[in-house]
Amino acid sequence: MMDDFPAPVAEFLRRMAIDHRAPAYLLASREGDLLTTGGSLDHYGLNGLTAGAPVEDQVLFLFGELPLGAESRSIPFVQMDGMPATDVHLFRGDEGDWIILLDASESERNQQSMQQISYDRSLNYERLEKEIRKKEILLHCIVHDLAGPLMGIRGGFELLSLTETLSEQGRELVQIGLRQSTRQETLIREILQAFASEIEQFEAFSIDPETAPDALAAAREVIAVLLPAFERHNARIRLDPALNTNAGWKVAGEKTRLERIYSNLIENALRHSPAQSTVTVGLHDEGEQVLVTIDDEGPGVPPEAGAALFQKFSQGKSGRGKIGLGLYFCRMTVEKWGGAIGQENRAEGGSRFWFRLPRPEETSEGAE
Amino acid sequence: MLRKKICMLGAFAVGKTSLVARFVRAHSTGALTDKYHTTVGVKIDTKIVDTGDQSVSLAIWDMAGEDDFQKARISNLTGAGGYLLVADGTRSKTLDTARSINERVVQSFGALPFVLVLNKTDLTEDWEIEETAIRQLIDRGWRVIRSSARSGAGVEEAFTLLTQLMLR
Repeated sequence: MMDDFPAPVAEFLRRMAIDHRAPAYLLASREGDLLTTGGSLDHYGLNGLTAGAPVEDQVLFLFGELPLGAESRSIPFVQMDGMPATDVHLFRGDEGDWIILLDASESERNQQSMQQISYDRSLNYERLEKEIRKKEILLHCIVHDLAGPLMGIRGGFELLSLTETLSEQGRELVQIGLRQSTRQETLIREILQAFASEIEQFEAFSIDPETAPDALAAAREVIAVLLPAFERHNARIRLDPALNTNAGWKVAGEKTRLERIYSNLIENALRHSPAQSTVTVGLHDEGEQVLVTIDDEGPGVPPEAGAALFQKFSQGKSGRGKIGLGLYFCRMTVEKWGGAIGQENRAEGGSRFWFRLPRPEETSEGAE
Repeated sequence: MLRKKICMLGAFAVGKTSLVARFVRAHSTGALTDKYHTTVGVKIDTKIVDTGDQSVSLAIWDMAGEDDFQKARISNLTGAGGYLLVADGTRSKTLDTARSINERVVQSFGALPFVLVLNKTDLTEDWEIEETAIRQLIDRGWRVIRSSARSGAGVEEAFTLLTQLMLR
C-alpha cells in the first residue's frame, strides 16, 4: 500500500506515525511465546521483556488474547497504570502473531472530554425528568386533597337551596355558590384524570377477548348520554350509517376509560360544531386493529395548532376548550393500550379526530 | 497463581469504574470522589482475590459504558472467564441495558459466569429498580448483588462471588 504513495508522502506518513504515535511491536509464536520486539516499548513501560517466555505472563493487557484467531483485532484506548492510552492492534502473520502498539493519549483526551459533556448532559436531563415526575405526583396529591372539602361545600349549598326560608337574594347567592363549586369540581376531576393516566402506569386494562370492551357498545353508550347536549346546541350526533353493526368491535382497553375517551372527543367535536351540523362516529375494520373516527363539520384545526392538540394544557387558539387536559388524557390512555391517536382536517371541511386500538390478542386473526 | 480475566459491563455512569476503584484501591486511597468521570476504551487493573480455597489474580477490564449511540465492545471479552454486569439502581433503564448486553455476550461467547451488580444502594431515596424485576432475574438463575461503591457495601462480595463461580 505504501508503495502506491509517492516517496515524500509515504515518508511524511511514516514520520507522522513515528513522531506522534510512538509505535512499538511484539511478535509472538503460535504458542504465545515472545519471539521479538521493537519500536518504542519503553514508552509503554514494557522494558525487559524476555524472549522465549509467554507474552501473556509479561504483558497484562494481552492476557487471554493469544493465540489469535483467523481475524485481526483492535482494542482502542487501552489504559493501565504507567502506560499512556494505547491503541492495540493484533493480526496474524506468517511468522506468528503481531501486536502493534500506538500511543492514543491525545485522541483519548479529546474523546473523553466530549463524552464527558454528553453524559453529564444526559444525566442532568434524567435528573430533571425525575424531579418533574415527583412534582407531578405531589401536585396530584394536592389536587386530590382539595377535592375533598369541596364536596362538603357543594353539599352544604344543595341543602341550603332546599330551604324555603331563604330570601330571593339568598337563593341567588346559593345558586352562585353551587355553580362555582360544581365548576371547581369538574376542573379538579379533569386534572386528576390527566395525572392519573401518567402516574398509574401499570393500571389494568384488558387484552382478553372475554373482558375487553366493545368499541361499538361504548360509542352507543356515550352517544346516548350526549344526545341531549347536542339537541340543546341544535346539532346532530349519529353513528356512521355505513357501519357494520353486526361485526365484532372488541378492542384492547377498559370500558370506563374507553367511554371517557369517546366522551372527550365527541364533546370536543360538539364545542366546535356549528348549529344544524352533524357529528358522525365511525368504526373501521383494519384487520388486527380498529380505527374509530369522530367527524365534525366545524372549522377544522389550523395546521400550526395540530401538533400541540394532544399536549397537556392545550386549548387551541379559540380557547373554547376546557382546561386543555381532555385530549391529553385521551392520548395517554390510548398509547398505554398500545394504540395511537390523531387529528386531520377533512377534505370536505371539518375535522376528523381518530384513534386506533389493537383488537384483543386471541381474536386478532379472526376479527370480522 | 491462577489468573483470570474479568470484564465490567453496563450502561454509562452506573459506577463500574468506582466499583473497581473501591475493590482494587479502597484501602490505599480512602473515600471515592462523587464526581463522575467517564471511561473511554478500557482500563485494566489487577487484584488478587482469596476465595478461601484458592488465591486468584484477576485482570479486571473496566470497559466504557454503553449509551444510545455506542454499544459495549463485546469483543473485549475475548479470553475472559466471567463478567460483572452493572446496573444503577436509581436508573431503572440501566437494568434494560444490562439485560441487552448480556444477551449479546451469550450470543458471542456462550454462557459465561456473571454476577448482576445493582449499584448505588446508598441512594435509597432515588431507588427505582423494583423488587419484582430483581426477583424475576433471580428466578432465572441470575446471581444478584446490591452494592454501593461509595460505602463499599457488597463490592468485595460481588468480585469474590464471580471468582468463585469461575472456579466451579
